[in-house]
Amino acid sequence: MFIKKSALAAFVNSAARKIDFYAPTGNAFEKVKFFDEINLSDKTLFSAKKILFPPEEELFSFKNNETRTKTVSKNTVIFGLRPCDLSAFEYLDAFFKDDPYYTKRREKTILVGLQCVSRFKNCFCHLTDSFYSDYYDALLVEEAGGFFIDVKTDAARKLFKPAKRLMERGGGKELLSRIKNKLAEKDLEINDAVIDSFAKDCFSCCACTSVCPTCTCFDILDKLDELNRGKRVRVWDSCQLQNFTRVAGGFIFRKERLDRINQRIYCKFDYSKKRFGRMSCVGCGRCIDVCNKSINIFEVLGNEKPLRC
Amino acid sequence: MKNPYAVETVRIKKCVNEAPDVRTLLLDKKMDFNPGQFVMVSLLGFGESAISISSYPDLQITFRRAGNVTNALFEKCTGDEIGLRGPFGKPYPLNEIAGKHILLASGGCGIAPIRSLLKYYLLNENSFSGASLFFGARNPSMILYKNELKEWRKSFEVHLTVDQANSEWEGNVGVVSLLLEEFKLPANAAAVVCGPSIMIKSVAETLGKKGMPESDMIVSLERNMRCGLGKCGRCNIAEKFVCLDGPNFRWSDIKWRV
Repeated sequence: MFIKKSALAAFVNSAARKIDFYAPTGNAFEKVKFFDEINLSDKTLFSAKKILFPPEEELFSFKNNETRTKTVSKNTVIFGLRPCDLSAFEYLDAFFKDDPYYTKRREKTILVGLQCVSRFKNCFCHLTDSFYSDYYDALLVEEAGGFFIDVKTDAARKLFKPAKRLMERGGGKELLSRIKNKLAEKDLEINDAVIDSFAKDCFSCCACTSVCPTCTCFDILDKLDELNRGKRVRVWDSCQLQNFTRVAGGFIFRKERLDRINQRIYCKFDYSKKRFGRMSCVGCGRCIDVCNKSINIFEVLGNEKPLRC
Repeated sequence: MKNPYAVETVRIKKCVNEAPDVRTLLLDKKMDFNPGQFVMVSLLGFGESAISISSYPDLQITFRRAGNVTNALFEKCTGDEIGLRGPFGKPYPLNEIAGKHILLASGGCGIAPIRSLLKYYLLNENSFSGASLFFGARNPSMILYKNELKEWRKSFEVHLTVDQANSEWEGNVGVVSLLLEEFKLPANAAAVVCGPSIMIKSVAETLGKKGMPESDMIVSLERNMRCGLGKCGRCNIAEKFVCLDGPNFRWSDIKWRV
């Protein structure tokens, strides 16, 4: 189906009044009320993972030894997710499949994708097989004057029902099938010598793990309001920090920066394959965008240079 | 969906001082676990800590005060309540070591999970061909479970050693692997080792020299754990998570990263 940009805007303006409507606004995915706030032409600096896996989340509150758990789940739409972000949610869904906090949110969340037609700076999805992802409820592909729209799931059909009369037949099915004709997956090999050179540059600022759509490491902390009352929270943590693997008594298992960078690179390209059958890196290149030392994670995969556009 | 982060309040039934800064708590809770597993112990407001189960089939934990949580836990005694989650981790491979002579080597608080296995052994003595315990402590006062040693000696050999002797100590001095060097390894033996990683390495090396295959050595590893569920990301050794796939590993599977 095809939907004109003005019709899509009218739909968004009306839908965003009733549900939590997240969309890219430039740097991040934020809750929006109007279509005009949305920026569909750039890649966001931050990923959308914080919507389902917040930087700080209450696991339960407690008073003396009594605990109370509240899980939050609101009808949510995440709009304008690039294929890499969709692929990241596919990974997160598998990773957090037994996590009640994540799944409660996820069950009520609709993913609306936005197909890329070219690559942004530092994008590497042609190596991670995520230039296209079918892990969406609805997908938009920009065309002259509007969007080709594929409404795939029941949840998305319900969401887009008010806009149905605004949709027209047609749209670039061929474009989508051309995109689906993905670049062949390559056999990737990790070059350890390159990791050694990263260790000389990196200063463990953790920008990479903060913006990564599939970094999931966390810490669990107790926060007190009064001596007997407080909450236990789960907060984002980073494998790049030295104290991350410190045990009582002071021993640190990944003390050297090289060990920590190894952990990140292998976690993305190797361990995730062994645990989840796919690499967790989705090639969005955000870690490269934010790195102060221009460390380019893809250099470990041989001579692949970023494709500029 | 069961909330894996939910904490259950459990009463302390009994509390025993094992050594300076080391304490055993008997908990008033029936738990379905096997030797080698651990629990997450919570003190709301202080945090959570992974602690080995040190008994079987009753639920006991033995810990040394070393960090925030264990320091606070040290203030708790009989009648007090603590928070609990678990059990976590894979138990010792009881089926694999059944029928064998089990050689238990432990250093310091590493004896805690070993004691759980020993208690299992005492209940199932017929399904093993024997056991010998090697225990190394920093000094004579750090020898744990002193009251039980006599009872244990009736069923299996107990070899003790200390790093630093005092005037009253007449036993061995030195590391556990030194003790093992003089030990005649029975045929059909399997080892279960728990202690600091340097001790694990030297014990494994000694046993290897004596001809024990590395796949017959079970080692228990310590890592920082926050969740026990393979999610928080800090206890992994390559793609293996100590909290999920361990803490007990075959030495042959893990030695290259310890």
